[in-house]
Amino acid sequence: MAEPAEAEAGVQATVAPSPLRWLEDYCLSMDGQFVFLDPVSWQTHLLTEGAALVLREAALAIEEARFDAFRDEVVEAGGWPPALEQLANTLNSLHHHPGGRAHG
Amino acid sequence: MIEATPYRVLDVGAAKLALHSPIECLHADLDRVYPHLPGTTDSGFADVRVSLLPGSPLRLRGRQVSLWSEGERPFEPYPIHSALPLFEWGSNYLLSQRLNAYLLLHAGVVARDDLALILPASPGSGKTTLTCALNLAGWRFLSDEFAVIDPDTGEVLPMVRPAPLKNRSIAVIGERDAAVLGPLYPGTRKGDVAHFVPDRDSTLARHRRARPRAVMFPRFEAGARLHCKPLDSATAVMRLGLNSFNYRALGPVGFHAAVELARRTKAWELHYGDLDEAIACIETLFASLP
Repeated sequence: MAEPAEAEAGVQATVAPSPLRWLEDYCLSMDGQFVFLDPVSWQTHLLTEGAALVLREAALAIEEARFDAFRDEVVEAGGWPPALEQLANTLNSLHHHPGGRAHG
Repeated sequence: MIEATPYRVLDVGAAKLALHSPIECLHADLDRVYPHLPGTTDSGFADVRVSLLPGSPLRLRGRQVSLWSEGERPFEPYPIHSALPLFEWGSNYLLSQRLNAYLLLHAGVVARDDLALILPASPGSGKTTLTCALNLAGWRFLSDEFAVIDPDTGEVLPMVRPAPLKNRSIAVIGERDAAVLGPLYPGTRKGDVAHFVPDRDSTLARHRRARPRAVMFPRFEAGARLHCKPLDSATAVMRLGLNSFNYRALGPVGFHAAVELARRTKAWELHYGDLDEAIACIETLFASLP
């Protein structure tokens, strides 16, 4: 909700979408591949179905506050597919805690 | 009291350009390459407002002309006889920086029955030549430089301006029936240049939007055999983004506009070495669309 001063000035506060919501809106399936809009750089990436699945798992882990553990699991499972860790980190930047910091 | 400077206004469809210049030959050249636009002077809104001002007549290596906009001179001066190419390139550059209400693709656009064929391409790929040839083959000319996509409706807006043909393309297009070209500017920074004048009907329809039907990424290579390959829609999105002036600046708006464009159209990559073969291929593919 907008602060009273902002509301008076007609300014609406914007809330960043959650990582899962971002994937819903900006990781779209097209002809068996996925196009993903990076929420930080606004670059678009072409992903395989497998890569999109890993991002979804990462987004779920971020929202359940277990992203660090998820990263350890990925390392144990053989490491991140090329460039995917960076994209997972950009999703993590969407997640805000009451303390105001993204984790990881 | 200082009188307001008169500006010549060019309403090219998706944008209005306002030009002030005391250079008479520039206005004569504009009359030749914009023969179907009514000449108006207007102090109202223009997307781009520029002045082309002559430099000192005493310069030893020939007189120059500079383009000014919003108190800045964004380009190096040109020889004064190349004022029209400077206006065309300069104002296109400024439009590419300012028209952020739309997704702007670097593309030629033509249409049949208000269904648009978009031809995105990097410089040197033959986009302008192909767009002009399609106009001469009966397609409506919407633009040779910008596909102006309305992100709310997905429609493409015309931006009907003369198309700068370079070097060999001047003769290739100039020799075709009904081709109208403006003055030749030899030895510019981009080589010899002459502007193709889009037909009158296209100019008169400059406020009539078209619905994108197909996207074709053309690439000319002398002597190449015709090769036309369908593209999947995800690849088309990526290539639309790469051929856009403001895709990243628009962020989510540009993303959704490109995705919708790719979903609503069929996309191909066209590699060609013969213009007439390419046109025949395009006609066949476009006619075969459901």
